[in-house]
Amino acid sequence: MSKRKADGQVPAEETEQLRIKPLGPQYNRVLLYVVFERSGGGQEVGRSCIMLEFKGKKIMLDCGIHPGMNGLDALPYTDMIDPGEIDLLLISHFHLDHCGALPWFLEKTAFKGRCFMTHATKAIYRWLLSDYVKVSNIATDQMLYSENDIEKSMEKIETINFHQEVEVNSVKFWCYTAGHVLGAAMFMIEIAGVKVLYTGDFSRQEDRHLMAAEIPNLRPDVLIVESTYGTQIHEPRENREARFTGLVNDIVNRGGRCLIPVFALGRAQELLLILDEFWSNHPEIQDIPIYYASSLAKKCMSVYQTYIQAMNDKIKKQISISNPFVFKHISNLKSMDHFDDIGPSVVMASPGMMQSGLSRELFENWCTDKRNGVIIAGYCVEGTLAKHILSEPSEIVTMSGQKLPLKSSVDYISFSAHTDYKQTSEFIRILKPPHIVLVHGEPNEMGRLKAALIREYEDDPEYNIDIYSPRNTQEVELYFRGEKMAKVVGNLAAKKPEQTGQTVSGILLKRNFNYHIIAASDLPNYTELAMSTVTQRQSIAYTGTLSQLYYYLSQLSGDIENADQSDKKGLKIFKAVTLLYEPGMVTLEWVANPVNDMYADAVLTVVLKAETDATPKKVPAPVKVDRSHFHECLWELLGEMFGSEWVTPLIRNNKMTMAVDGKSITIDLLKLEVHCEEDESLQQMIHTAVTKLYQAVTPVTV
Amino acid sequence: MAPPLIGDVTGRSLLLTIMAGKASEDSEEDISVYLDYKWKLSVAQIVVNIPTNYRTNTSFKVCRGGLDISNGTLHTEINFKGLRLVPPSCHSMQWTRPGELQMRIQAYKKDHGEKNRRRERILSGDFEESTSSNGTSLGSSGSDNDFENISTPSVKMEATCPIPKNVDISMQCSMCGELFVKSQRFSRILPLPTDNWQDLTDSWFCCQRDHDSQSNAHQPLVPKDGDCLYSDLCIVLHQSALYMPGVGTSRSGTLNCFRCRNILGELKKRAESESLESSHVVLYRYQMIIENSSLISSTVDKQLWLHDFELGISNMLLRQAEEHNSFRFIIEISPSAKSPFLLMWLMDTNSVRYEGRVNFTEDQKEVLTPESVAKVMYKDCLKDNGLANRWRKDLGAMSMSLPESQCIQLLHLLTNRSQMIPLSLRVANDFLISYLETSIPCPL
Repeated sequence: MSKRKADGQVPAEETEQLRIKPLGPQYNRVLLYVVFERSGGGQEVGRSCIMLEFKGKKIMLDCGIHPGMNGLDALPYTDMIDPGEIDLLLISHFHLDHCGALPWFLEKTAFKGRCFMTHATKAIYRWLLSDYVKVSNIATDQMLYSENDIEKSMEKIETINFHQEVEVNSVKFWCYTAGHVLGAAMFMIEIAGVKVLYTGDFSRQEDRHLMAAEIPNLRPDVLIVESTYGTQIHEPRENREARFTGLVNDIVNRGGRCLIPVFALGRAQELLLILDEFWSNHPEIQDIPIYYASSLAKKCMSVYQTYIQAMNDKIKKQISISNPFVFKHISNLKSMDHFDDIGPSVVMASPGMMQSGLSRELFENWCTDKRNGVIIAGYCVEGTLAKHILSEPSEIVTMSGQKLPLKSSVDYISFSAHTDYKQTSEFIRILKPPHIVLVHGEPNEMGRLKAALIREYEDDPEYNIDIYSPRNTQEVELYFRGEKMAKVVGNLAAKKPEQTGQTVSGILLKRNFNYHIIAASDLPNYTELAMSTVTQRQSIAYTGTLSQLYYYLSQLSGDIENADQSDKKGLKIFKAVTLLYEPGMVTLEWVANPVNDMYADAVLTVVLKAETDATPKKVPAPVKVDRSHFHECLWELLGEMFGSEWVTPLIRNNKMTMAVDGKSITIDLLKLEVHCEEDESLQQMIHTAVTKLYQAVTPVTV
Repeated sequence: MAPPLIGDVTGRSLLLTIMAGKASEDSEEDISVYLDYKWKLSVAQIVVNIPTNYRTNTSFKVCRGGLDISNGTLHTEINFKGLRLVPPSCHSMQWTRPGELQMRIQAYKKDHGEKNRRRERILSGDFEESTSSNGTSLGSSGSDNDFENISTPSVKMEATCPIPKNVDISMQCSMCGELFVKSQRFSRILPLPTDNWQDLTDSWFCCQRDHDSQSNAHQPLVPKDGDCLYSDLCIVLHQSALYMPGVGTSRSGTLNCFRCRNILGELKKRAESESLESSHVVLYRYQMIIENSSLISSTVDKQLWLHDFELGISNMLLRQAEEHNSFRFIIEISPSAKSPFLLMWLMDTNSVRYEGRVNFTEDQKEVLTPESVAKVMYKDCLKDNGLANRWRKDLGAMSMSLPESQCIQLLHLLTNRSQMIPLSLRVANDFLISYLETSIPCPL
């Protein structure tokens, strides 16, 4: 703790300046740790919650709950972080293993930062969470959070559009479409020029309504990528769809009823689009009805229609002609009471795992006829009827406890919306990020993916790849060159530098992590600062005459000019200080800066001296110090130094030439430079003498 | 024919005089006043029914606080609590055929912010007062941005809790008062998720693996001993909570009151187990009276029960509208017939209503109080099922099941409420118009 305090005295963003290393470049550290990605080594993918730390900025990526755990155990393990220090919290999509802990984190911790997600994510997240928390609170004695907490936390969640750049506390970020589910986003985060791309869950496979994950046009320095499916490769979409429609076609053609248990949101709409298109292309089966039986159909459709903009181009184009979610060959079924079960039909019914409800009811009615068929179109968990029938049992138990023979066909088709090895590898090949951090994966899959990626690029001399697969709560430390670059802008940048190595001087502006050099005159154009001058004015009582003052001042400065102003007599000393004389008083005026202030102090001293000196009755005329006087003095000095017989000076064009001990010496009387090619020490001695003499006999000039 | 009106508008009031209307034999002497306030629009619709024998030379004044009605000898003042009218904004005034005076007028919440008051003064042309009292010019005020809105009260996503915590409660049949849950203190009282929560559980988590079988998402919701789970219309208890002498169970699992056979709910058994320990009961919330055990009495307070029922139904409709984007409802009889009983169409969920009657035989001052209501159109299906069958095929309409006695109670309630609405506003197309009181806090 004390160490943290000591560190805290220095602004964290300035750390690079404090780590001075005389040799080699400076480095900054990117600290990235997975707060609670997996628990143990079991076959599970847990809650997502990743901390990113760079230059004192702390960002949390996703804040999920664990699907297999209840109550407080389901929350991310955040003991090692201080929520109060986190600047930003970004949520990739609405699945609760990515955002389910949010109400708790926003309402029950010290988090004070800002939280962002896309519009669609926020709407669907709210909808899912309301039921989740009620179910969770009933199933366990530990209350995670209440409906009230959700309601209050909603106000703290801000929304972001795809590609909209937002800056929070010097951290810039924007998001790209991630595919996967409606509203899913990949976040690109830029801190002090270092770019980190967090994919969340993504899919590069465009489907009927969702876009494929975009490829960012900027190369990230660090890619944090999901590894759910590791090195597995999905069945190509066309094959998968053909298999699906083929199965449906077979069932109805053999006179059977086809049951497709589905959940209400996402995959259902995808399958409806596929079936509707298949029916449109096959007039011979158009008299066979397709029903969609879900009580949430209307709500899901209205959500889908609200977020058309988050869907692919095909849907966006279609919506301007007709609503793609109003199906030509599919009718809605509200309950079994309104269903005339006569002959072949296709029914998509919820829930997807046939735990209860309409799908279960239909299955129990139809499973005894071998002409009928069930197509399981999504993952199903142990303990549910959907999972059970995949093992092809000879009989099943109905809701009422009755045993029925299972004669209908059962098929499984996976419609996964996660990236596979092919997609991940392609994504990396295009982006070529130097550092890749694998997250959201079961350890074996993650290990295989890491090995496969290393193998793929080991022979590539142009692409050095570093892959990390951190365990839970394990940190990944990456270092980046801490070079500072300042851009020259404004007037200073108006002219192209003529040569390299030219020195540019101006004011260095630091704004967040950006540096700019500007001319002082540009200050008001680029900043809120303004240039101003301070004129100093000082009046001193002075009872003497102006000529007396002139005499004293002429001893101080060789730069005295007349500067009369209207009715007042005045002098300008050192070209900087104006002295105005009136009987009984003089006023000094100068523009304040360190040099002028010094001149003014000197003038002031002289004025005071002139005042306090016993006023002489007669002021001697100021000595006229001119060039010839200096020349005479120099002549005499040199004579005393070397003896007059050794010196035969000759003055021409303000240059004095002479010879001492047979060595030729040239003195520039204007520049006070001495040249003696034969004897450097003699040259130095004479130069010192000349300079000192000049300073002694001539008043100070600017 | 309606008598002519003469109007006179000043900054503060609008004076109307009803000229020489034909006196009627009607002995009715109550003035009925109805005000429907749409607070989001700051517009009020006022309907006044003056007894026919008082319609002659009655002057009728719309003031800021309400209405002044006088006929020279008698004077009645009707105020709307919490509401301030803007008399000069009065428009669309008409006599309707049943003899009701209708008008629309702008209105604001009383004691609202200074900005609103200034805006209101501009509307009333009342410049002097504001310049003298504030010393400020009105020219710069009154932009829409300055306008202070009433904060939006909305329907809660959670059903109201029917049971107080840490109190022993008893449940009795709403028809006969027979006890069927005897003095019980529930350790946990929790809201139930929406009816179709399992339809969305695959969207809860993106990576479902085998360990998820322990996840709550795929487990049926079963109350433990000592639990009380509630929704808008149901209470779910562990089977052990029932006081068995009070209830009878039919073969189909229906629970009836042992004394009067009133349907109380259903008994649910889990498929894999026939034991009674794992069973739970779903009780219909409005088929019973829930009472603090210490206050229990053998008589049933029907008024209180009816009020709870009304709030329960209106809350459920509002939440369904919010959850499903549906505004049309088919009310069906459950659990047996499943035939459509009533069609309801939710019109306005955020209306504020004032309603009252004033006797016009003596000078009076009456203050009417506001109530939050949801306006509905309804139509029973007792004779004609045609529209119900069309709605059933339509995805936009929701079906909801209620026990038969509640269906009848609901229709009765709607019909009663409809009688309170002025005759001219009571019918739209083939539907009757009514309203249900809601638990949304009144914005005034």
